[in-house]
Amino acid sequence: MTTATTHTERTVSVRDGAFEIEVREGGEGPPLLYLHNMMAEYGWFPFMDRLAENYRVIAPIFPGFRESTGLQHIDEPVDTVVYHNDLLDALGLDSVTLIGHELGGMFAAELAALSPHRVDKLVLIDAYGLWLEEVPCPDYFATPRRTLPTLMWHDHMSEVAQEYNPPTRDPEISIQRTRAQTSGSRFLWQFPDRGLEKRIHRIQSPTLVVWGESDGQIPPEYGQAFNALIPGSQLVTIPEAGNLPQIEQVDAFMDAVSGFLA
Amino acid sequence: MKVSMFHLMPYSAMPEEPPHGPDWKSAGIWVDLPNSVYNPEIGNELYNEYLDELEYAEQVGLDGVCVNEHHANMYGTMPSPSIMLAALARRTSKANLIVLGTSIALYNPPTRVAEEMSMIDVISGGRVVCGFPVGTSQDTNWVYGMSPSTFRERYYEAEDLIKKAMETREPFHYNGKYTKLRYVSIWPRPAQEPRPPIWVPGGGSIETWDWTIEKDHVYAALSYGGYKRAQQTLNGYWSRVREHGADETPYRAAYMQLTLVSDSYEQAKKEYQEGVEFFYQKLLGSTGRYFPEAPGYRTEASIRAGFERSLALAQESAPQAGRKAPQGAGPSWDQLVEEGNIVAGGPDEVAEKLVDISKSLRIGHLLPLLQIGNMRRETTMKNIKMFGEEVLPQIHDVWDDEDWEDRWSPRPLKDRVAPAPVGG
Repeated sequence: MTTATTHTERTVSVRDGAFEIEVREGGEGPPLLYLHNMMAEYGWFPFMDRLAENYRVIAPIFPGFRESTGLQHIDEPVDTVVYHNDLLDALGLDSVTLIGHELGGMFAAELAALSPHRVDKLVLIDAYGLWLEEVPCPDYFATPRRTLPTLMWHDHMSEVAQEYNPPTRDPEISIQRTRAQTSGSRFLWQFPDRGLEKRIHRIQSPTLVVWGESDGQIPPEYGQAFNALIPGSQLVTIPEAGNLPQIEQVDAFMDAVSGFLA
Repeated sequence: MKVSMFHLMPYSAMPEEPPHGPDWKSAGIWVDLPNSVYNPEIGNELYNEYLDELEYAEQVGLDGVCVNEHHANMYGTMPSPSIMLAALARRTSKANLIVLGTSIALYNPPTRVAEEMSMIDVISGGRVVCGFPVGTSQDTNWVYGMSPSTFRERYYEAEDLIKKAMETREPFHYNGKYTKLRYVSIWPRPAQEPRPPIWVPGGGSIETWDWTIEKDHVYAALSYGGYKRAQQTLNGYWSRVREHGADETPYRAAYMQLTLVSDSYEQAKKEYQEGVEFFYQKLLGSTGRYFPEAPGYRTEASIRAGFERSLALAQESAPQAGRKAPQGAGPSWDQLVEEGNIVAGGPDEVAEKLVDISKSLRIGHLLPLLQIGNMRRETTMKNIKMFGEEVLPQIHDVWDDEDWEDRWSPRPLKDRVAPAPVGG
């Protein structure tokens, strides 16, 4: 197994303070930007350590999540692209390897489509952004919070799943979770579709689509749809993984991603 | 005090078996309720019966009638309150026509609301009160699909635009975030100058208190929780009024109360228990199970205040078992009387209670809900009649010995036209 890399946490000011962004960072090497999902608690996960063996892994928290500010400047998908361009400028990075998961996958695909020069390689993990009439995604917000884990995980009773987002009575954590849900609702409310399908063909970077075979939150048909719409992309399906293959099946995820990034 | 009858217009013909799910509690009566359950023949009876009841309230002397807005819902079947108000405008001649209210964030463009309110205001000769609630989460977020992250902003923008559209006599442009209109000049303009009064139905959020005080709108406490729980809400509101340095005229506050009058308390229980329990046990008891309040519907400040309140409550009641969660059938008539959800009895005891409540909550507008649950015409008409004839004269003058200004009742045209009889 790998040894844990140390990671740092800092606040990055973007667009002259319009956004104050929490950033976690670890490892050395070419820059790799990781865009997170709807959850409110972002630890530094084992797959990040693994990536940090070869990359400088940078994990920003999106505006409106945790303590990151500036969501009022973001209404439409194009605003997320402008924001991520500004963020890369603030970090002093011309281009990055980009990994986006779930909601972060939607943002990553938008950035890769509209600012292709800033994305060297793209990895989408169980991403939102499309709508398939024949396979409707469950309504994320109407799914009772107790039921959600059964959709998110292949095995929601496993240790990693139990540790990931445990029930809490802490008001501050509850408020952070509600804040994350609220902010994410701007892009996912009722339909996780804000028109990406009209832009996705502009993605030029080599792209890997990774999907958990047991994802009940965004069914694997969506992985096939992303793969079909992105020119030259490849699809890897990870067995015994739900919406979080990078956490539930770290080795299989790293095998797929390492091969693609090498 | 002004007293206006509130009506929810419930669909009261709930079948024994829900179309989906083992029971009504899990099936829910809101948001995804299949309309196969709705019987238009019964609906035809109910709508007409309910309108008759509101019209009758005017005849027995109430100052106004109130309608409201809900969507895909069994306990309130008025998705468009304007339609009900329009019907009432033609069949009443004196009553204030109060909509409590129109969920203004849902209309695109919101000037549609300004137009409809103005039309009804002109038809009725200036008897309209506009109510502009944020709207329930079920109606706004779930049924009308508004993202919780933006709908509050939409609401504030809609209020600003609607108010401006009703008040402004020259065309103007409105370059809002959610509504962009190059040309705004509504026709007709309202009969009341500069516009009908605005009331804001609200729960207990500090933001809403502050906002209504700053805007000088009425704060209307609408809840089925009764006067004991409303005391805390109104106390909070009035303390904000004092902090703002606003005048403490009771007319800036309105309150809805489920009220049941008969010859005696025993008689009231006999006549109205079924309707009341149907409302609390069947209609409210199965609301919002799968579609609870959307995340972000309440602001973080309100959520935080809620945590603090429940913490305080838990500490206060630690030795007891705490408040019992509603279980099984739901609250009974006796519990509802005990907890103050309903006021019931003979005319004198009801009047005495309502005077106490009005003074204690400091409200200038009392809104009795007189049709409840599955109460049908005869039962409801008796309640309205006894309320109007025997209770109203005892409560109308609550504030008369104090000289408070009511800036929030309609100011009808002096020489307005009454509907002429057909063929007349």
